[in-house]
Amino acid sequence: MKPLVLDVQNVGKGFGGLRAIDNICFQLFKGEILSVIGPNGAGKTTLFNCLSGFYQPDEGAILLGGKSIVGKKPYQICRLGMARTFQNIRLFDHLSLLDNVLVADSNHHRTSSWGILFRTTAHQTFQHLAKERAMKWLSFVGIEGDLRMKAGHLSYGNQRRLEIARALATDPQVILLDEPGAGMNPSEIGGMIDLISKMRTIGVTVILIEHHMKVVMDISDRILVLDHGEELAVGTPEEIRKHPQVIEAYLGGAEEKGGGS
Amino acid sequence: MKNRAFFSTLLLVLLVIVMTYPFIWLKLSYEPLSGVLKAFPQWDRGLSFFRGLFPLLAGGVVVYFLIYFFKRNSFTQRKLVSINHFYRMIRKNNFYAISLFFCLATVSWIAGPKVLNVFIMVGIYMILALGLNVTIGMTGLLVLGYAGFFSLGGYVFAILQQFIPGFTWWMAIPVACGIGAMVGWLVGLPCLRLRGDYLAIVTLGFAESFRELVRNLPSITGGDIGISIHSSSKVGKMLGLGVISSVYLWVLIALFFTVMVLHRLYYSPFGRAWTAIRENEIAAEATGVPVVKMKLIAFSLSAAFAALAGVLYTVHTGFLNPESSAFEISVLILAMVILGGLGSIPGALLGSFLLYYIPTVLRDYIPAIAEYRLLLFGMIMVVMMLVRPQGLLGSKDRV
Repeated sequence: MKPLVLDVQNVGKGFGGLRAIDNICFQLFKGEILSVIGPNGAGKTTLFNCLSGFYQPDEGAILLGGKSIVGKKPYQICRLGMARTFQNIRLFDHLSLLDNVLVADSNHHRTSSWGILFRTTAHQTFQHLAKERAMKWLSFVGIEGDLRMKAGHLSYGNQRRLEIARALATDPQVILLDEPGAGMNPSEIGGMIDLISKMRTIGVTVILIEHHMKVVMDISDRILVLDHGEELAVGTPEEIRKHPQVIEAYLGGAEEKGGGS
Repeated sequence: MKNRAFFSTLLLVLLVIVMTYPFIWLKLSYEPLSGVLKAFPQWDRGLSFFRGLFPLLAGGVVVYFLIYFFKRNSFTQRKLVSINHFYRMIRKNNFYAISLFFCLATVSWIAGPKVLNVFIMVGIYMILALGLNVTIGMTGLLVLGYAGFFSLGGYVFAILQQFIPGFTWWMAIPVACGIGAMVGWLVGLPCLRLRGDYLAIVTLGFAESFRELVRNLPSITGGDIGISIHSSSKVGKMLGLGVISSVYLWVLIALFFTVMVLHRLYYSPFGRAWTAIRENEIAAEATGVPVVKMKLIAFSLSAAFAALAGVLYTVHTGFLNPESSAFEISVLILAMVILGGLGSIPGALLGSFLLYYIPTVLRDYIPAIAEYRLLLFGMIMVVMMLVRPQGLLGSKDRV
């Protein structure tokens, strides 16, 4: 039995009178890839925001590695081992590729202010090692090109990869990927599938929001289906594919395809 | 020289002469009775203006040719030697920085008090612009009341030397910087936790409140009249130089110190965290940057440098009054940073030089400049935003 990485218990969040998500329960085990699917407005990004600390859930518990993270700020949750990417790519546009990833490096690697001010050899070594770590992540996600190029000038596909590299550079246990395949053509999707599978090899657990069913069915170990803020089903891809409520709500019901007479 | 750089520079010089023509070379007289407007060219007035700028132009030409001859092979024919190049060269090699320091230091033996006065004030404004640059340029937080911290530093020194006999100016520096940083922290604490540009108005409020506080405690602060500094707390003569020359040297040392510290912070995890906050605050928070704490550190650091400049200013003029936290000064420093380029250290240096040196030199020829100063600064800011938002030395993308 693989160790439990994330335990989500009865999490709910409302805005005004609207319940964005309600009574969400699931468990995440090390090394697995969990996809969260559902129609637009189902509450998927709200769930991510609650998990990563940008929203505080109204009720419920979230345990990362056994420790509660409800009420913690996003940067604290990041340091505890949960990283995320954003649906509408949030990069540091005017910083270079290298700098984008280096920002994440400071999570687990510190240098002294004395070293910064006096340019000690210890600090120079630190800078050198940090740069090497960053470059390692950049090649892991497969970005080619001049490292000093500004992030805003990258192609769309490379920008998505850079954001993933930055998230991975925080050395997370769990990574939340918010629609990594959005806006990509079929050939790029293949590359993204490979990248996400690669994360398993380094021991990172993945939660994925995705609309491309090919990606979801291909790489997920389990799938969580949300609809109108509620958990419709959790299970393996085969189970979900056959689940009647899921088919009706999201995958396309037979009655709708029939059309009028 | 079949060199486009040479002709571009020549063109620039001619452009300056043409632009200054109406102000300096031409005298206008209007007779209201007959309604006649006459123009008299005054060649010697123009010539003496440029003679006043001559040491500067000569120095610039010398530096230009030096760089050109040493780095000739690495330039393409199309590039004009830029100040950024010059700065990068100094940055890369300590030897250049040290020799620049000594070149500038020798001015204290050569120049007279009037010139030294101007250079001292330029140096002080450079420190102010660099300090403000940390908050506005690097971290992206707007500050409208920066002069309040400048005034705070000056008053910490002035009040302490009034009540503690034998309290010298260099003792005041760590105290003033410490108090400045603490006050900066306290001022920033309530508003940096919120999103939005609250810091701008809160600092403005702080500057104005500080001025009123000072005016209303005349027993401690001398009220509207201000405080004079005892001669025992002032800068002593050193190395056989006069007082003003010594002050100039100390300001130069403080300036180099400021540039060194800020430059090293910029290329460190701190600087990366600050620019990340500027670029995308939410992404920075999600990447493990403690956003609120970093903003507070940036703001406190800015306040500390403003306090340093305040001490230097007070010991230079020997006198301080509540008007030192005036909004005009905050706007002037803001204009300097914007003109030079947000987030750029050589930009802050250039912007502060241009916006202090040129009005001061022009003041002798056009008295109106002193009156219309704020209008001119406002116009400069508007024009810069329209034509070149990244400032003179900022890069095209950093807007």
